[in-house]
This record gives sequence, C-alpha cells and structure tokens, in this order.
Amino acid sequence: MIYHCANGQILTIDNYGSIPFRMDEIFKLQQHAANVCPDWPGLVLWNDTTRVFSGDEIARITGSSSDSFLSIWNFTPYDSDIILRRFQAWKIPLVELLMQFPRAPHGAAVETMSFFHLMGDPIDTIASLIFTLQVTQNRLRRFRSNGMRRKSLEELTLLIMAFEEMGDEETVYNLERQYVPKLFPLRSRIVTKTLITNLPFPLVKKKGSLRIRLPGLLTTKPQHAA
Amino acid sequence: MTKLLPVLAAVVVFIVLVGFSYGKTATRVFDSRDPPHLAMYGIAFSMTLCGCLPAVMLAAAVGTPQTHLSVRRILGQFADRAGPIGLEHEPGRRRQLRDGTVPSWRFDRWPWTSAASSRSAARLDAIHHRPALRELCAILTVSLGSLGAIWLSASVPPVGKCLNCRVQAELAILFTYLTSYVGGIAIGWVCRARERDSLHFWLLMAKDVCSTLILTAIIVLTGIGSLNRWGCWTTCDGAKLCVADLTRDMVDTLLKSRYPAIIFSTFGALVVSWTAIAFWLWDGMSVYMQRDDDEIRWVRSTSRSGEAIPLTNFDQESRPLGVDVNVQSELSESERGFSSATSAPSAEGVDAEVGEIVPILAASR
Repeated sequence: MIYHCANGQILTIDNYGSIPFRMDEIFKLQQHAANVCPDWPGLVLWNDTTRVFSGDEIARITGSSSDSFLSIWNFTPYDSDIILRRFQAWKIPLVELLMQFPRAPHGAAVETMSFFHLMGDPIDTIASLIFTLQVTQNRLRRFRSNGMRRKSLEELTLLIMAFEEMGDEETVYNLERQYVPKLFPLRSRIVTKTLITNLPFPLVKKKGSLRIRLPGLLTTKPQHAA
Repeated sequence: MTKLLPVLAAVVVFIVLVGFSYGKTATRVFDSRDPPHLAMYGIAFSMTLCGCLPAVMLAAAVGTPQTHLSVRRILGQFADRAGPIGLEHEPGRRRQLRDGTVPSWRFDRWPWTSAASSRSAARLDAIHHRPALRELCAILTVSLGSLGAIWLSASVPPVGKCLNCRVQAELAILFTYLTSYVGGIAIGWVCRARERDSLHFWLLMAKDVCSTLILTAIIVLTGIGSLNRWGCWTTCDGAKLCVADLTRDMVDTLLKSRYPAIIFSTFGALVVSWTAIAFWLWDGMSVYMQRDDDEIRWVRSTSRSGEAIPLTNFDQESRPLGVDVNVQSELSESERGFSSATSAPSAEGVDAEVGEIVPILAASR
C-alpha cells in the first residue's frame, strides 16, 4: 500500500491486507505511520499526542474483517516460547494439582468418570462431597445420643461409612437403627450426657441404684450363638 | 488424613508458585512481544479452573475410605475384634453407585431419586436438610474462581464499559460449568428410576467428557492465541486499536497494586470457602480425619470376650444383616463384570477383599 501524505512524504506498507497480528510489529508499524504520515486517514487520535490505527484500518491491514467472539480461526498464534512459558507457569501446576483428586477405586470406568466429573462439573462434585460430609455428620450426631465417647463415635461412624462406601445400605441401616441402639442403650435412659461427663467419681454398679451400661459389647449375648 | 495433608501441602505450594511466577512477571522488563497483559490473561484463565481446588481438598478429606486398603483395613480391624462380618456378596455397580460409593457423585442427594426412600436416617436428614444451602455453597465456590478471573481480565487494558474478548471467554467457561450442572440434574431426573442407573452413569460420563473438552478447548486455544486478534485489542466502540505498549505505564502501576490484590484475594476466598465448609461440617470431617491404622476402640472390649458379634438384624434374626443373596444373581453379566475387580469368593475373611468377608455366622446357621 502506498499513500501520499499531505506533508509530502510517502507512506508505504508492505503486505498490506495480510499482515499477521503480532503486537510488537503492529505497534512499530503504527508508530512508523504516525511519524511519517500523521494525516493518514487510517489513524485516529488516542490522546492529544498519540495517533493509533482505527478499527477499520487494522481490519484492512490484517485482512481479517471479523472481530466476533466466535471467529476463533482469525487469530495469530503466539510464538512457541510464549505459549510454553505460559503453560509451564500457570497451567501445568494447576493440572498437576487437579490430578491429585482422589477417585473411588471401583474400576477404570468409575475412576475415569470421577475425574471427568471434577473437570466437567465441579459444582456437582463439590455439592456431592458436601452431601457425603453431611451424611457422615448426621450419622455421628445421631450416635451421640447413645452416650459413646467421641473417639468411639468417630470410629463407629467411619466403619458405617465404609459399609456405605461398599454400597451395602442394608448393613448401614441395621447398624444405624438396630445394632448401635441395642448395644448402647443409654439413649433410652434418663441419664443425660452431661451427668455422665460431669460425675466427680467413678461409676459403680449398685443394686437398686442407677444402672449404667458403659459402651461395650461384653454383656451383650450373641443372638446366634450356636 | 493421610491424603489430606499432601493435598493441602500441594495447594500451598501451588499458591506460593503462583506468587513467585507473578513476582517474576511484575518485575520483568516490558517486552512488546510478550507484554504483562498476556501474563495476566494467562493467570485469569487458570483462575477459572481454580474453582476445582476446594473440590480436590474436600475429596482429599473424604478420601480416606476410598481406597481398597483402607476400607479393608477398617473392616478387617472390625472383624479381628468383633468376629466375622455378615457380608457375603460384593454389591454390584448398580447398588454401589446409588448408595453413595462415589463421594464426588452423589446423585442420591436429590429428593426425587429412589434413594430418598432410603432407610438410613442420616441420609434422609441430609437429603431434606438445607439442600439449597448445599447447592448454593457449591455454585458459589466454583464461581469464585471464574468471577475473580473476570474481574482480573476486565482490569487489564483495553478496558471500558464493555465485555472484552477475555471476559466473554471466561463467562463462557462459567456458563459451561452452570450448564453442565443443570444438565447433570436433568439427566438425574430423567434417569431417576433405579433400573436406569447404568444409562444414568454413561449419559453423565458423556456430558462430563463434552463439558471437559469444551473447557479444555477454550483454555488451550486462548493459551495458543485464539484471542490474539485485533478485535480483542480495540476500545469498546471498536474505533481505536489499543496495543499493549500504549497502556504500559498503566499496567506497570496496576501490577503493583490491583492485580495481586485480585489474584490473591480470589485464592484467599477459595481457601476461606473451603475452611467455611470444613467448619460447617467439622463433625463429619473429623470422622475422616482420624487415622485408621490404630485399633478400633469401641470394639476393643469384644476381643476380651472372645465372642463373635452377630452382625444380624435384631428384628429378623433368621437373616444375616446386610446379606441379600439374590442381588448378585439378579445383576446382568455386564454389571457383574463391572464389580468383578474387587470380588472373588474366598473363605480367608479379612485377608481377602472387603466383599469377600464371609459370614461365618450365617454359614454356621
């Protein structure tokens, strides 16, 4: 492209219409045009002193008229060193971290699904994990009424969660509803947790007095003893 | 606990690494070919993925019983002390998936699933207690990363009262997350019947693969340079080209103030979000954070008795608890194949796989 400027100079732009959009080269070209030919109609005022390419002009210079979001094929790739540097600095460590996501060990299909579910639907993943924690928390708090110690509660809940993990809801139900209450019958007694924890002396089983069966299975007879 | 610590350490290392990389970018001499604008865009697109970090941390907390070894160890300890456990079959995939064996995919949390008729009181409570809070919490947590990214991209020139290309792409990522979430709910509703669990699984897998591919394509393409075109470097009205050199001074100033504030407040918000969830569900977390390589105390006394604990249904004494001998035979061949990796009949008790623990009590009867 050749343009005869008002100041008598001639502005020449090689490859006009097919210049790739490289930031540094476009900036140099813009500076050259502004210095040589400030009155060139392709330039507009950026501020009082600086002239820049107009939108229409840069479209003609690069030969790509479309600037819509979906025109992803009208772009100029960055240089490879820039691409690699950015992936190395910002993307790869993050992907590496996401790969640490624990996956349920139920075969390749479930493990694959777990990872794609994290990447493709993180909202559902987080909601599901919160739900899992809610179930665990509810279970723990329900057992509290049986008067068990905190550590024992946690261990029992973990055990039941392990059954749930295996998909055996029947066992979970029976442990929740029948096994635990039968073995830890404090729930049905008038003794409150506060009373137990605040007693200043060790509990002694005494005829006629309050009888407390401490958490334990010693006194429970197996129902299926041969 | 064993899984959570390394993941927490990895998250901290990642944030420190971001800090170092940012410091390097902020102190670098301006280069027209690779201006700091591009680095900020790169960080912004990475931040859209950072919404997944709380998921990784939560999964790491819940992850303790997710391994074969830990589940086997827990049940093994129980069986050692309490006697054999009444579980004579490995539940098929259909039961595994519905009954909460994949903690990161709990479609049984919706009231319309057949799991809503579950007999587990704890699960019923969780289904009906504050479901909106749970879902909003998840949406907000994931959106935090994308919102931080949009804020950062909108602060990098060319700026104006319009959505530049980067903001549009980041909105597309957020939209993909939300669409995928809604799509997952819709698939779950269509496949709510128990017999459609396999279809549900594969439809969801297809949906998640598509969603992941879309997100990956957006992030990889923008990394390669899909937004490196003149339309993304003009002012809002499209009248002027605004190359990076023109806004060099402005960006140099923002690199020392606004940008690090946006980036690290976003990371901080994600950490706070995870901490808030952990605080809210601390009782639940504490169950998973105990070490499982010690003795189980609550059954310790039983070892002294030497008696086997009957894991039986107290109301139905004729039937060992949890044993549904017909389930396995009802499953199709493909479903059996799915779960075959963890099951093989054995009389070795706790030394075998979890699903192989044989109900001696049931057998003796």
